[in-house]
Amino acid sequence: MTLLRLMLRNTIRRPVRLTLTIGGLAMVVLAFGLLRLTLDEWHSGVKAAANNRLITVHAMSDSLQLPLAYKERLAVIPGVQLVHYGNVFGVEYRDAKESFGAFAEQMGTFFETYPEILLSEGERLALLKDRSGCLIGWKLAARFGWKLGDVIPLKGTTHPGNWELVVRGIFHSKNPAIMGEGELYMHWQVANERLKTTAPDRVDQVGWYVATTAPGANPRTVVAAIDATFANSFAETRTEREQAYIAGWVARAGALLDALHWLSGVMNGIAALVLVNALAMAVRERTREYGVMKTLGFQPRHLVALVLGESLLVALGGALVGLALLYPAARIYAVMVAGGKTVGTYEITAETVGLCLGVMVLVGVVAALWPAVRLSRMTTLEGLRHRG
Amino acid sequence: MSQPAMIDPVVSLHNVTKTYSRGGTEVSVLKDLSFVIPAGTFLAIMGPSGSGKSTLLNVMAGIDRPTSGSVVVAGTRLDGLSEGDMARWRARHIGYVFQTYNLIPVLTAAENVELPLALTHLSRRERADHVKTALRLVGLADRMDHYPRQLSGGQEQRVGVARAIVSDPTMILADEPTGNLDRESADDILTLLARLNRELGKTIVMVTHDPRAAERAQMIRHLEKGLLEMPP
Ligand SMILES: Nc1ncnc2c1ncn2[C@@H]1O[C@H](COP(=O)(O)OP(=O)(O)O)[C@@H](O)[C@H]1O
Ligand SMILES: [Mg+2]
Repeated sequence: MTLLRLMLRNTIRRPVRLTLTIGGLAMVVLAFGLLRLTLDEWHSGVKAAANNRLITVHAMSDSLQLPLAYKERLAVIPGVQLVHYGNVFGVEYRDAKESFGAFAEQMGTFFETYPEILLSEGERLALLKDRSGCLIGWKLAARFGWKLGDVIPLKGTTHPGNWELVVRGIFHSKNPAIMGEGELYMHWQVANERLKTTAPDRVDQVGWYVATTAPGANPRTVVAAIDATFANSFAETRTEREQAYIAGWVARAGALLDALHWLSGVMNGIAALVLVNALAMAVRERTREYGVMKTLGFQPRHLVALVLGESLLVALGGALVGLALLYPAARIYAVMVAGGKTVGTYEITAETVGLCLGVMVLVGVVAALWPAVRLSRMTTLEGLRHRG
Repeated sequence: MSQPAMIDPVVSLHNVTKTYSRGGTEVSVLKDLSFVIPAGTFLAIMGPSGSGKSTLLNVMAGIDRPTSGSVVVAGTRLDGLSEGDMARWRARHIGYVFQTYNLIPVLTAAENVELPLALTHLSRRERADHVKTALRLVGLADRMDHYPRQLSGGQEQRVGVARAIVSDPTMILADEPTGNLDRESADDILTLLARLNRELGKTIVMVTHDPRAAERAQMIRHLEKGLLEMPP
């Protein structure tokens, strides 16, 4: 009890230094937390991807197109339950700055392929009935104030011409990391038909196939079977599980990821140095008191506990202040980084909180090491003779 | 060792030497000291500055080790003990009073006095009782919640004495306990030490270079050039 009190009093003994130290640590925790949020956001896509969806694109580049004729050949490959396909549908709304993501999807298979989409039965049927209908995510609807029945005038880029699409459904997504809520989806057939007059050479082509595997089928086997089917064809395919596909996309930003990981390491190093410095100063100032305590019969472990406790208290103080700042900062950050285009969730997960706390505990322990060693080695007489 | 006819010595030193090597030359601080201090004695050790008084006291307190010779205090041979065992032994047997009080500035008078009790298994209540008793004994029961900076030098030293006796050690060692005090405060402290010796039977060894302080002890010994001499 007395020792606990002594530890607490020692911790708050130099209020200015304590404030600066906690402030410094909090800044590091804040920066570290925001970095984690960014990394989390990228990785959540990978984690949330369905394992039974296979994405097939052109082997040379996923910007090249595949023939529609592959549809039938895909459907008969063992383990394939459903074949869906789609294209990018590039559009401009009002002016180029206000663009958003749009896709032409085979609506007959769309909902079965993406059970993440939450849509009322009435809206789903209305969309399927109306060839000029489209489906939009609620965030896109909110962004432009669109309601059901509104007509959206668009200028096509990948699909030339003027388009007037009627909002037939506004959906939520069970998993915004995979199925975003800020995009527009229209009928693939309708987009394809218009190409017959505007760009005949691009008719009956698809940007990607999404094959859903049958329950019990091994996705890896099916992946291999698909690519084997189209080997030596005019357009060879590259098939990946959706998870791997998204992971590959994240991995392409690998250098940046590595840099960010290094950066988090460096930041924690800074935190440790900030704390080491403050702690070393404090312990040096109190050398004589530690000598007195040794004279009274206290063991090195008592003194180490005092210093370690103080170090952990300050580190946790920094972590708590940093986390308290992280919540409002994450909100601002999400708006700033996402810029309203693809709105990320930037949710502070329990894992991020745990990691921040864990890292600070580690920093607290590391920072206490050197003073602890010094105190253990110091003889009682050295302590008593110290003039600070 | 113990002879029934004699009072058991609390301290017995045999052929104790202490040398420091400073820049290659050996400096002999304690030269072949042998003496005993019977239990219940109030001994003053006198001598000029640099004569080795503190070194001798620290050897008896187990916070310094002699270069050679044997030191037996409170029935324990100190030369064989590890640092940890020595600290445990010290907590049990030694109450130390410093010239500069050495109170912990962030703890109140009561908390400073309670500090050594953190090493005991006493309950919270028992600790509080001990602290109160010790502070009452030194006449500071009304200053329990004062921090050291709120006390005068004499009061600080009385807290220092309370801290030294609170765990009821076998012996009190005091290194120039009045060295930083004015005459009046010094007299208070000396009266207090004499009372602890007389009323509680505490063995006290006090180092001082002040003859007036030494006079308050039962016995005075002079340390000169590393040798202990009886007063003329
Ligand atoms: N760690 C040390 N290294 C070298 N010399 C020391 C050390 N400690 C004490 N001395 C020397 O030992 C002598 C006795 O010191 P001390 O016991 O403090 O004397 P006193 O208390 O009588 O003034 C002094 O000359 C001092 O300089
Ligand atoms: Mg001295």
